[in-house]
This record gives sequence, structure tokens and C-alpha cells, in this order.
Amino acid sequence: MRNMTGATKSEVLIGLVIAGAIGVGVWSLVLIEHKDQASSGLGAAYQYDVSSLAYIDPDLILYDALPLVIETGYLNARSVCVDHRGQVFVAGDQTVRVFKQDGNLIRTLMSPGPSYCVTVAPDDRVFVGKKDHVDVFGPDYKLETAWPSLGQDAVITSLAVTGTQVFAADAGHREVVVYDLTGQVVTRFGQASDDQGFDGIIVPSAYFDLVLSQDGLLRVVNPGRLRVDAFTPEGQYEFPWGKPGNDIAGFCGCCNPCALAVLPDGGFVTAEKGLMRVKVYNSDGGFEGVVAGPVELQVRIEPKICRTPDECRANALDVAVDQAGDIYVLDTEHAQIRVFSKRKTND
Amino acid sequence: MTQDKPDKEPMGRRKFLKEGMWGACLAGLGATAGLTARHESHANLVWQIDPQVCIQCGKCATHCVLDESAVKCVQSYAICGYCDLCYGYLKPEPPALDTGAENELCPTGAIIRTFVEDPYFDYTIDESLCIGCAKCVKACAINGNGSLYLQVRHDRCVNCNECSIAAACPSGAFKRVSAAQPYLLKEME
Ligand code: SF4
Ligand code: SF4
Ligand code: SF4
Repeated sequence: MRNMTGATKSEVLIGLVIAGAIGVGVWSLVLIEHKDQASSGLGAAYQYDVSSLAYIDPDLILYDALPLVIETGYLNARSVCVDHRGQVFVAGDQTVRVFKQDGNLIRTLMSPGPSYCVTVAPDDRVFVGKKDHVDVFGPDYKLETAWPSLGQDAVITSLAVTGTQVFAADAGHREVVVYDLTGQVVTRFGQASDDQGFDGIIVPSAYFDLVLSQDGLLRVVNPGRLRVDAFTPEGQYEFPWGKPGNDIAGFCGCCNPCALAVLPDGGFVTAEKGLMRVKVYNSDGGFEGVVAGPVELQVRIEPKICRTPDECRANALDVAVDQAGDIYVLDTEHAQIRVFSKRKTND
Repeated sequence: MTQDKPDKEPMGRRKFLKEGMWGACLAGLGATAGLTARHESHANLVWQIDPQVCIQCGKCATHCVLDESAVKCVQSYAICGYCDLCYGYLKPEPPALDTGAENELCPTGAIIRTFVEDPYFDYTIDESLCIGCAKCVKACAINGNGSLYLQVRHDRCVNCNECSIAAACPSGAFKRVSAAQPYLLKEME
């Protein structure tokens, strides 16, 4: 399915037509933008050039979209993960839906309350963040237990699991909560600490992701500071990476990166909302290239001007990686998943 | 079992500032509304911009009958993220993240940045410098929380029968609203 070398002429033609349509769309939006601004009579210093913000150098794009879109069917799709079998888990509305890689729905995991995030343990147990607590489903996908609430202000936006611990990003309390596998809270961290030389995690809105990386450290998004922080599983602060900025290597907008995932080679995938970009960084946090920008994601072809606070905060992306290194991008606005595969190079 | 959480208010000062500033903002607009109601008792309706419809075209700066446009940028302190990297304040790729004029997005230098506490900054508008061009409004709505927006200031507007900005507005954002409630404020939902 992922072998693109056998594409037929008609597939190539369809691709060209789609590319042409996107190009015309971009051009007409740029024209409309410039026409409106020009007719204001204001000089160039007063124009905010939207089109240049969205531009991504094509040479930086290292991935191609696969001809597959998974329709989650959710009104509010929130989070995606892929298990070791390649099954795609999506948390949204009040459930978790499980899809095969071809996009077919296999099953639905149900438990009371809104589903914010999901992760799957190596033993196939499924952990679901239900806003203020964690629900645990067995390998048979039956609900085993609901762990106690972290309080009414808790908003669990991300989970990671090892053989002994579960890590929850609680955006409401702006901290990482560490559980043992029975649901006992072992520790919490994220506060500023002079002893550790750590300036604190700032979480202005409900975008707060974390992953376990291959070096055994947790990588925790510090969205208010537009960077990623590394911690030991015990909560000892290690080092930051990432910097604020509209340049392609930086993290821009509000509360970015909004999502993070680990690649099989130890590198990282990040997603940004607002100016939608999915990018890859190496295991040291060095920028490597782009997976997709707004054009490749087909979410919109220029940055969206939001009208309400809810709209400004919404429409984010989540990312997950399968064992082959393919990247699954959940577009929460359209509740769709697009899959991107590393571009084959001739050398 | 869940452990008891320590009693903490990590953003207390910021919250205080946000709520205080929001109160001050409402009080300011409220006082202006009162003045307006007295001065324009002949009119029950006044012109206002619906911030959810405005597309930041720039005509508010150039189409008002007054020499200095009656439209100004306003800040919703309840919405503002107080970001260090404020897209309404800073150019898209500023040489530095500081208050140097070369880093500022506003062509007239009308946005004032004040340090609150790490990593928060407070952004206010100097209305005497703002010409209502909407450049910062667009930047904030694309990259930020959309807390900056335009309003017709009724201590300046002479309430023309036919607002010449409304006639030129490409989005139909200008509305007639009650003089008793002359602002269409952006608030948290
Ligand atoms: S003329 Fe209309 S669209 Fe243009 S900036 Fe003013 S209110 Fe917004
Ligand atoms: S950018 Fe334009 S609208 Fe914004 S504060 Fe400056 S002059 Fe006013
Ligand atoms: S009503 Fe007149 S004074 Fe008021 S904003 Fe419109 S053109 Fe300007």
C-alpha cells in the first residue's frame, strides 16, 4: 500500500490536478489579501504579510503524504497514538476509537466522560485520559478500572507509560503527575526550582504534551516558553531544547509545540497550531526538516485568522509515529488523520 | 490514591493583574459609554465594529471622516496570554525579543510592553498613537489568542449618519448598536 513506485498515469494526473488546484487557491487568496490591503490606502509598513509566514522552502520537506486519510468521525477529536501492532487509537468525544492502518474502524472503547488522550502499554493495556482521571482498559479492551480524580481543575492532555509507571500531563495544574501501575500518585513535578535551575512549566491553555524518549528521559512540552524540557522519570530537570521564533526551526504562536512524538531513530516530531507545521528534530533537539506545512496538511492554505478565544485555542494538531517511522497527523478541526512517510532519496 | 495538592496559586499576580486590568478596561469603556449617552441623547444608535466579523483590511485607518480615525485598537486583558513572544507586538522575525523599535510590529509604536513577572508581559495601547490600522490585530488573531481588536471609540466618533468606514468596510463588520451599550467587547466564552 505504501509503495508509490507503481503509481499509474491516472494517479499522477490526479496528483497534478490537485497540486494545480492548491496552487490556484494559494494564488487567489494572496490576491484577495493584497487587493483588500492595497485598497485601504495604507503603505507597505502597515501590511501584515500572511503569505510569507506560511511559506515553507520545498527543499526542507522530507516527507510525502500517503494516499490515505483516516476519518475518525468525531465531533471533537483530541489525540492519536499508534500501538506496536500499528493500530491507530484516537481519543475524542466520550470514547476511544481504534482503527486499522487502512483506516477501517475495529473497535470503540467506552467509559464515562470526555476522552482527552490515550496511550497503549507494551502489554496492550490502554490508558485513557478522561479530563480529570485515568481509565485503564485491559488487553481485551474491557474497562478494568478508573483511577481517582486529580481534582476538578485537572485536564489530562497527554499520557506515557513504561513497564512500571504512567506519566500524565495535567494542563489544569500545570504539572506532570507520575503514577505507579496501580494508580497511586508517586510524585509530581513541573514547578520552578532554584535547586534544579528550572524556571517552571508554563501552560496557558490545554496544550501540554509529553513523551518518553529512547534515552529514558521524559520530554515535556513547556508551551508557555515555546520549548521542550527533558526530565528524568523521577522529575529531575535535565535540559531544554527548542526556541521561540517564526523561523522554520523555531516554535511560534501560542502554546507550541502543541504535540510531540518520538521517532524510531530517537528523534522527535513536533506539531504547531496557528501557523500549522509538523517538523522533525534529531535526538539532541536539532532541527532536521519539515513533515508538512499547511499545504501538505490541506487544512488551509494560509494561517487562519481566528475570531473567538475558543477558535484561537482550537484547531490544533496531534502527532504519533508507528514502528516504521510513518507519522500520523491528527487534524482536530476536521477530525481526520493524514499519514506521512519519509521521502525516498536516490542517494 | 491521589495525594493532597499543596495550596498554591502559581499565577496569582498575573491573575490579579489580568482581572484588575480587565476591570479597568471595562470601567474605562463604561465611562466613555456614559459620556456618549449624554452627548448623543439625540441618537439611540451608534456605530460599532463586530470584532468577530472584521477582517483587518486597514480601511478603518483611512476612511474615517475625522483627521484621526475614531477607530482604535483595544486589548482584552481577559483573553491576552501575556506572552513574551507577542505577535501583536513583535515583528514576525524580530532581531531580538525586546522593546527595541526595530523589533516592534506597530508602525506607530502604539503598543506598550511592560514586564509583569517571568515569563509574562502586559501589552497596552497608547490610543494617542494608534491609527486603527489593524496590523497588530491580524497578527494576534493569526498567531495568538485574538485579544487585540478594533473598536470605534465613542469619545472620538461623531456618529455620522452614514459612517464612511462602514460604507467601505469589505466584511460588513460595522453595525448600529444601542448607544447605551456602544461597545462589542471580546470576552472569554
Ligand atoms: S473596514 Fe471593516 S474589515 Fe476593515 S479593518 Fe475596519 S472593521 Fe475591519
Ligand atoms: S498596529 Fe495599527 S491598530 Fe495596532 S496599535 Fe499600532 S496603529 Fe493601532
Ligand atoms: S461614524 Fe464617522 S466618525 Fe465615527 S467611525 Fe464612522 S466615519 Fe468615523
